[in-house]
Amino acid sequence: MKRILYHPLVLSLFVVAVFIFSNWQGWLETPKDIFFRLTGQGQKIIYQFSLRTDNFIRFFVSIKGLEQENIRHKQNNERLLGELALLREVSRENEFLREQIALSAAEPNQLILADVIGYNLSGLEKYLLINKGERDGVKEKAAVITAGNVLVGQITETLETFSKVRLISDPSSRVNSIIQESRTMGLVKGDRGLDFFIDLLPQGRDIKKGETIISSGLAGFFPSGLLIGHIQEIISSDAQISQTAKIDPAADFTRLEKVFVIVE
Amino acid sequence: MKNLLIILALLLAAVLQTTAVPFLAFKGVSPNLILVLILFLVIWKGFKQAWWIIVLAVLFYDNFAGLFFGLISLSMVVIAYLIDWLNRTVFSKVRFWIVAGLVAGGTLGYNLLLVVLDRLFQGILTFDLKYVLIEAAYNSLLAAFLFIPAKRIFNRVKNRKYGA
Repeated sequence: MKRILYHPLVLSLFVVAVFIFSNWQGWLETPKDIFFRLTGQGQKIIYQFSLRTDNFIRFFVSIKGLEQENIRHKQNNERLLGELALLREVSRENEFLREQIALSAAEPNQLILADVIGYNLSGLEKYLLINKGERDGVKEKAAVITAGNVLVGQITETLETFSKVRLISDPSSRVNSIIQESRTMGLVKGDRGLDFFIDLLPQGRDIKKGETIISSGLAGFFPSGLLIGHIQEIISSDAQISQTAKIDPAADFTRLEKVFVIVE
Repeated sequence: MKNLLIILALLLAAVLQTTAVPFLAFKGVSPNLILVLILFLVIWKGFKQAWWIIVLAVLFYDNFAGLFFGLISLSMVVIAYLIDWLNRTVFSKVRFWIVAGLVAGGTLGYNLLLVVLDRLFQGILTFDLKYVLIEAAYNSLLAAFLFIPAKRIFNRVKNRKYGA
């Protein structure tokens, strides 16, 4: 009996079990926070150094296609400037109509700016670690966005000064969404690897490549109108109950430096 | 002093796993540095001698992960033990191809066990063989790169221990 109890495997599993129990009871929150405070600064430096090195390498790899990319961006910029002018007019019209019917304008979200200090891609998961926590007003289940109102993920764990963010491309993530052009509702799901889908699109709806996907706000987990990405490819057949499409995400999850946490 | 250095090295490995290693991702899958280091430890030192280092390393790593706390630790500890047993029972010498094979096998087993345990606790993960095979190949490649330096370090430690 004593031999079994002192077996290295039994001892290791016992130690891990003690930690699982302590975490479940909430006793590890302070030690975890101290741990992140000790490693946080080093983590931030290594992460940002890796990010810059990667950017530098990518720049040299893509140097050949830069001219073409520049032309494409200029064309896009011209098109977007045209759309912006049109939207300004619509916005003024909208403001005027709201005043006429005494409808109050939607209040802008309050945001907390946070630095990304870590990124976990292995072990079947996609998570970010940010340097803002409960002390800064971050709450569990809050939506996380990046510049341009692009949805990045959701807070899953908060410590005093740090939080973990589950990316929307994580296999366990689900976001109620809508295709902006056709108003077709669907469910955005992550997957392992780089794939990222919108599922449960009704059959018979004409879904086109390049259409914009935004959060619908249904179920209340994410605010509505946050940009998710664009339709890249329809991958389901007519024989299936619903349609599925691959998404080209609007955010590059692997190169995030700063994010915003939406405060309700 | 030696133990403190080991703890600091493991902490650094856990930090690297969540900062620099994701930038080496291929098809969205990055190698698992912690798993490779743990398997190196059991192959050269044995589970009996290195169990406390392994537990410490996996707990460090679990802290950074987003899954239910402890799942990664449990999976890695069990896989480290099984790989040690397989290594001691089947192979008599540490060779390059044996280490690469054990790391690949360990990665497959780890992912499978992680999904099984997750099903018991959360039930959100699915086993996708395509990505697991990419990770296994990637980890084997990392093991191949680290094989010579690891062999030197472990042999030096062994020689010092026996006064050679």
